[in-house]
Amino acid sequence: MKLTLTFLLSILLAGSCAKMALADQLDIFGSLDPRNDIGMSGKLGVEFTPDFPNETFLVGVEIRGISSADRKTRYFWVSGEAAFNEGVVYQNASHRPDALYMDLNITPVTTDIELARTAGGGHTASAIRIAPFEIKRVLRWGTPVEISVRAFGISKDYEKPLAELTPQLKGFLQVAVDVVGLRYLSQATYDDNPLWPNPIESRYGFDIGALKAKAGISWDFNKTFALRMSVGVNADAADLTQGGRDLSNGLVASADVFTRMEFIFRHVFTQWSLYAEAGERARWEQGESAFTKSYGFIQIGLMGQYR
Amino acid sequence: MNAFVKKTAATALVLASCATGLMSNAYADKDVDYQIGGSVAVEANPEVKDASAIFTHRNIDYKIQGSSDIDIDADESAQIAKDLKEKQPFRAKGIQGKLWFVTAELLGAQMATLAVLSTLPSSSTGWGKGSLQNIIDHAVQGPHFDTDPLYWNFMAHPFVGSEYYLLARNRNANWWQSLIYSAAMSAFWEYVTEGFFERPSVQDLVITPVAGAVLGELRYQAKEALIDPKTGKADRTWKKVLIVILDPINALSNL
Repeated sequence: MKLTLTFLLSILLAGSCAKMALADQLDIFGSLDPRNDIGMSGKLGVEFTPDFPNETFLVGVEIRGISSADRKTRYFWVSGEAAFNEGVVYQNASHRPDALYMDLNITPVTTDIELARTAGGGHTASAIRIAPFEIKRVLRWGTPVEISVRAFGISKDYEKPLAELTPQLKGFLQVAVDVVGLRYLSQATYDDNPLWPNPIESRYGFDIGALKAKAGISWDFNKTFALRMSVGVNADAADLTQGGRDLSNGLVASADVFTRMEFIFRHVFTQWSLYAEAGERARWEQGESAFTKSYGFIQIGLMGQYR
Repeated sequence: MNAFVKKTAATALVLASCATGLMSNAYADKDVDYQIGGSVAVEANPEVKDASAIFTHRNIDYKIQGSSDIDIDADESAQIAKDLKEKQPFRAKGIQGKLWFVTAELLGAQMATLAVLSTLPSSSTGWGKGSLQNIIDHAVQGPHFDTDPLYWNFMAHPFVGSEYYLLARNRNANWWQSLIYSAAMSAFWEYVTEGFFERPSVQDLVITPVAGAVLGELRYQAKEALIDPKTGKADRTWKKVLIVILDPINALSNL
């Protein structure tokens, strides 16, 4: 019991200290050296959007641990993302100023990682995540808190050279799917003014799942420098019941589509990535017009990994 | 007797030599194990002191010679790929001069389109009134976020970006030259051609070349996989049809 509590507390502590920031949740197997017990990554960046606030600072850390005898099983995996709006004072749905955007992911246990190296520097890897847990607050959507606990998730990661004539050119596909769970949504009825949302109303119900996928190509200039370009999608959906006077029961879904370019520098156990990402975010709720709201975004940042 | 002994001895010697030669060849052939995957890799039996082998990969004969332990790593794979390219005489070296002619054609077509569009009412084009002064004004104002539909930003623009990319890639530019070319053409469209009417789009400036390079390189590699590496041409009708589907504009320009 004591051990379990210590373990759970350590997860929460690690998450809190890390300020809940996500580096690149999908870049999981290819970058984690199985000889290390712990992998860490951090991100510093700026996001620009046409919506208020127009500029937000992104800070984040991701921590992954391997603690089994065969060094294959991860016993914890915490990742998250926080967005700070420097110099901007605004209010959340409870009328408290300076509320942060946040996206925190915790995976208590990951099953054995099946990793196979292939000719030419490629690899295939897969694992199953047990009870992945996500907390989000996105005030642009008018959602001060959104909590999802899902039963399990599957992660797949493929990378292989595209052709024998260009072995330095590799194609990759990374997919993570989390399925079936419960979701709680504390939602302000949205009235096009994120500064003054209406009072919060709670909704809860069946979480259908979440998908994160990214595919693209990477070019290795040599063992140190590489360029990686990809297109990807993040999406989740839930069927929520209850709700207040303005919120009908039904599906709630959000998605973003993005294009990403990374310039990568590798040195021993570290990897640095200067990246630019452009995309579109959208939120759709049944009962209202399709894609209730959407906006474009662009991120520029630096990501570091110790693996 | 002597003659008989000499003939027999000579015959035995020849047979023994042949047998030894065959055995040594057979031994070498037997113990060499080929592993050819996405890239070329060969592993030889460590007991073989001097292995040599010839294998055929994608219709090209390739000879490997080495010591007891041939283990080709990524650097050697790159060297093999380079050698492999040299065995394909149809591959020209350096960017083809035709690329600049095609670029001039494309920019000319853009200007002609612009001239036609500027005569149409703005209700039919979706653009405001265009003017040359707009190009400067919009460049000074800088890029902004557009509100175009998702299919426009993430399907139409990447497709156009991949066409820019393939224009260069098909004319012997390598991947990073093609990427720069695609980014330059995309920036020209945003700042000059479209800048005639509206401000450049942040999303388009990033998504068009980056997603275009991903899509373009995949289309290019798919085409490469369909051609015969010895001749540089598709040897089956269905392959030719697939190549036209993968890159119709290049097929048209090669007519």
